[in-house]
Amino acid sequence: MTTLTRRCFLDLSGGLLLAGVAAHRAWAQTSAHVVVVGGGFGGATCAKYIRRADPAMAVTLVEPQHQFVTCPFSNAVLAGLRDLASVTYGYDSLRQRHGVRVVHAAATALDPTNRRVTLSDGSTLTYDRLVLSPGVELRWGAIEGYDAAASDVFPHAWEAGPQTLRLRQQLEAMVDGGLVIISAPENPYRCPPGPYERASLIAHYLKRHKPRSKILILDAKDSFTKQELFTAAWERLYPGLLEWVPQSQSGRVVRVDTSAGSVHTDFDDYQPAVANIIPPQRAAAIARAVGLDDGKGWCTIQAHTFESTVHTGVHIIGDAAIANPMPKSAFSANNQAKACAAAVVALLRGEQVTAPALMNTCYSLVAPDYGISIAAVYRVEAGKIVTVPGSSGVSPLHAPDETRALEAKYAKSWYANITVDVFS
Amino acid sequence: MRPSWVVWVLLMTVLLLPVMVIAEPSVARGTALTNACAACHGPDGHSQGAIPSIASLPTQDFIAALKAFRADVRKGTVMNLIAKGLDDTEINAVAAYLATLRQR
Repeated sequence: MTTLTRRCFLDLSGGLLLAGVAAHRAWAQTSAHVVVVGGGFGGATCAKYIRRADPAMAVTLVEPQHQFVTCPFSNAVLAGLRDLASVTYGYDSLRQRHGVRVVHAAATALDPTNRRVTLSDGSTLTYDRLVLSPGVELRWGAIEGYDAAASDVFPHAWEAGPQTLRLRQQLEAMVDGGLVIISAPENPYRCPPGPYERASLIAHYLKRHKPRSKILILDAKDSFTKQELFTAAWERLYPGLLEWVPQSQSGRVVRVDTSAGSVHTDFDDYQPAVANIIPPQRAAAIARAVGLDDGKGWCTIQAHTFESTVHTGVHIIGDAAIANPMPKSAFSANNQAKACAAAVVALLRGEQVTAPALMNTCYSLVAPDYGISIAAVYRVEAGKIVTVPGSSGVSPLHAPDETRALEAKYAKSWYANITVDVFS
Repeated sequence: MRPSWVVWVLLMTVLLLPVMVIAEPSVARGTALTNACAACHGPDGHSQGAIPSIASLPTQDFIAALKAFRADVRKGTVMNLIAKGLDDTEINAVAAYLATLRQR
């Protein structure tokens, strides 16, 4: 009946333009093709939610790895609280349950004019809309002497997987009384509370197994997220075991020498037993191709659609995008992916894009039964993402143990739920 | 001169029209917000572990809980913050969307 009515209306109006729009809509609903680059929290979510919103759309997910190891809860692997398999996910559900075509290759080049992506296997994909969610690239050489080869000796473990296992093995092999250095980068970088959660959980491991050891966080910043909460917890749980050195007290690591086993700041030299160097970061190479980052290292987007401000038809979500005040978290990537999926479907159907529902919640574990959180809700106002007044905050500084234990349980429940949301 | 009842009805209708339009929960907003909630509460509100499922909460209980979190009458953890980011229309939209999921 609806179709008939619409046809009658078109026949009556006889408008070529309207007929064209209707034809485009019909075509778009049956054969529009979206290519999503990156199979992490952003990309995998976006591919799934486009198919959920419109099963007629063809979605190809481009991801080189056959399995994805999550950075969230990889700090628990470092502390021996979980194994790597428990933070590893495949793409079978996306293929079989959601009808996403998954191609295991890397996207190596973009042609936004002809709407084409070139893959590492030499093939090309054409798209109606492209979503880039490639994450970050570690800036080799930004710290003198720290490159891919150096990360075999001083692991970054900022991409979970073999690097996580290497750092874990080094911590296990270390004798009691050793010095562990964690170098934290300047902003912006993936997972702002990550270095401090990592220091906490490694401290939890050392306290039980190697209590004479010491952790030094050498920081390129003078402050960090949830700082008061972390500091209070460290004083209580890990007194004398964990020390934070801010940038203003010569905390910034400027050079490493893996053959000498040394780590250097402007004024201090260290000989650690284990060094975890988390280097400065920028958007992954494909998100900086064809000027998408406008020379800034990160990509500017339109807040309603996450479409690039540089090239039409290209959307950027997750760590690679500038979405301040949203942090570069797994939650943000998953959240932006859903907003982007809704926008992509609306744009391809020629419908109006509705306001995105933007929010973030990040849990950090200071100990297995001690969790803290940060949360906020955002709106788009005058084209910018802004925090809704009153909705942004962290766990209370003074709270009973039951609250910390409850937030630790929530952290684990969040992880179980978001990984189902992304990969199942 | 007293205005007739017809004038009163017309006046009230005009005055209340924007309110009625705003109060109408939007399906698109309900879908978008519920999808955002899924990151913690699980897809379509079905949670694993300690975070409560919101899928099967009766509509009025859901609305009352969110408003109590927002007013800090009910003490939660992150929900006291998240609820302050949602207006009544948005809370109603999530409640309405969750209700439609139960009817499927």
